[in-house]
Amino acid sequence: MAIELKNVSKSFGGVHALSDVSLSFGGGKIYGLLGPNGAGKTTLLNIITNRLYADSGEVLIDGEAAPGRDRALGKVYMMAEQNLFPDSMKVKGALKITADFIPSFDLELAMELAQKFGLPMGKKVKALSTGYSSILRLVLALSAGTPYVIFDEPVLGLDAQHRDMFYRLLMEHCGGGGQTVILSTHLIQEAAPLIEHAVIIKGGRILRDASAEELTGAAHTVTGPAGLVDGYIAGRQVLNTTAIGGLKTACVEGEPDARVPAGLEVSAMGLQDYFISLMNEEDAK
Amino acid sequence: MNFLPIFKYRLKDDLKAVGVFLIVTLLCMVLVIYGIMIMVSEINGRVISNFSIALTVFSFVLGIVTVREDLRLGIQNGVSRGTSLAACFTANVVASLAAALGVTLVEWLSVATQNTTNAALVSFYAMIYGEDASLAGQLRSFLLSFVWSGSAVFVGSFLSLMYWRLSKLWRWVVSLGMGAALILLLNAAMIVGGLMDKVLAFFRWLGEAPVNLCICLVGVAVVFAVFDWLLTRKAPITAATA
Amino acid sequence: MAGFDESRPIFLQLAEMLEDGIISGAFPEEGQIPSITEYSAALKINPATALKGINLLVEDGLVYKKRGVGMFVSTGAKEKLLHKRRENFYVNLARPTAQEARALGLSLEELQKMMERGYKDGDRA
Repeated sequence: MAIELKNVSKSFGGVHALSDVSLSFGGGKIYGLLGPNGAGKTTLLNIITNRLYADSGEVLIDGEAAPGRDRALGKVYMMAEQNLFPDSMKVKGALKITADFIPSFDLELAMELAQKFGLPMGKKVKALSTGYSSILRLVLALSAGTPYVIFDEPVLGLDAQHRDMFYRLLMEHCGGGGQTVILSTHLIQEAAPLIEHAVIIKGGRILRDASAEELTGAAHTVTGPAGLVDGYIAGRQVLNTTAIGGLKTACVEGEPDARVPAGLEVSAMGLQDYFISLMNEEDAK
Repeated sequence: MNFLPIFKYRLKDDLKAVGVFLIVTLLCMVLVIYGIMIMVSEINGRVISNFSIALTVFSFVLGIVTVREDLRLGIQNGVSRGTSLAACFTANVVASLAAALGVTLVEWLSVATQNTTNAALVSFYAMIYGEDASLAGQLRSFLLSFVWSGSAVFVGSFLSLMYWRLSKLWRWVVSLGMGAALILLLNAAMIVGGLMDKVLAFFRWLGEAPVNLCICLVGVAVVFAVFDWLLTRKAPITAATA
Repeated sequence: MAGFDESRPIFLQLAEMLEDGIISGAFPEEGQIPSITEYSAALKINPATALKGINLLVEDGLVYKKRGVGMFVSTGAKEKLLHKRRENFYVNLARPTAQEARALGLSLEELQKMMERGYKDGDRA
């Protein structure tokens, strides 16, 4: 029971948006799809939901080829970056029509959440501000109840309070293991604690696909006098180094040594730091 | 089955439009006929004002404005493009049926009051095959109006989808190309011996019986429905860009 | 609510938070503790992480699960924790402090005086 992508490629006018991407999302986990802007995150999600067709490769949902199939596509609800409601539709109408389409949609919950966020029910969807447009779409996705829920840049235009509310609600309503969640974002710091499994994408290629723990546990930073640090990192896979005066910091792949030489400080790496190091390493290539 | 939600939404929306259309039609009829009565009370003859054409334009526009919207709404809610397109078309055809029924009634009303108003509307059917006030005649008139407007739905959607899929350059090429092709074809018909006769023979065949015209229109609808599907099959469905 | 420290695994920090709660009496013995979902939502952390943190306490016998009801603090959990924390206090704080004092050339008496001062300052803090 999973969304599977097999060797999916897509290009737009000769530019490779996705190159030979193979991934699997399932098991009621919360996935983070992380990458800088323009990495191909939205293209990937649009292909899963059949808004776009891949140039080559397969998309399977619970083992069934998804493109063009109602049953497979109906299992996925995506909070897209864009609004696909008719121009004349009002917020209330958008909630109601979603209930028409999706049997598992919890209209009562959606109404309650809309009220919590202060969504103006009588306003036209098209006339909503960026923030409220995001809120409407995330209220719909939080209430969808489908086996797979995708959030594409969910907190775009949201203020701090509403972002906080969203993360809580996400854990409360989609974190129970009954739904597989894909959270696509470039705001890694905020999303990191929520994510169980991270997929890191850049330039249309998957750089890492592993549990968040594995990724952050797979690297550490050492700080200390340059000479000591150089000695420590010799023969290790180094992601990047920075130096200020005689003080040097290195991000190193793998577990730290059981015995760290005195004078060196070792700390675990957050997902965001890992991500930044990885991006720097890629840019340097 | 994910057919129903879009069908229901579309039909509801369409029927509102049909309502407005029929009210306008009725008002037009009253204005045209009574306007003439007041201004030229001596007039002896019939006003040839054809609401069947308005009906066809109405369905054509329905076809244009609804198809992208429904594909978007469908994909947003996990409905495949094939199902969305089918639901949109079905709803539009049903709406055309309702509109055709309304127009036929208006036309019948004008014919029924012909003696007092001394003016009447002429339907497609009457224009081509002659007036037939009998119930059977009215039914045939209704059927023809329906087939005519119903097929316009698919042509309208074709235009919308074509402009959606094509780049700016290709839009120009197709638009100019269609005009050019029409002119060339006409000229070819004039020049090439026998071709003109065949074209005329075809039109005569259409005029012989309503059923011939109906078959031709259903053929047009089927051909354009296929084109519509081909344009939709791999279309990227994204938001309308301002 | 609580901000997590990036340099240490979140599940460890959550386990410490829970332990602190038991020691302070916020979670009395035989009282129920919040569910995984509640923790996950309140702290905005992945449920798997929350589970892992709580499981640390379950393994230590500080918390036990009642099927279909929830999780409860074991009897004697507070005593156990205090014992463990005191052990840790010696290893992590007292011994290094003494070693640092020796390195700085402080005598045992001087160290004791400093500790007394610090202990009393605690009243005013």
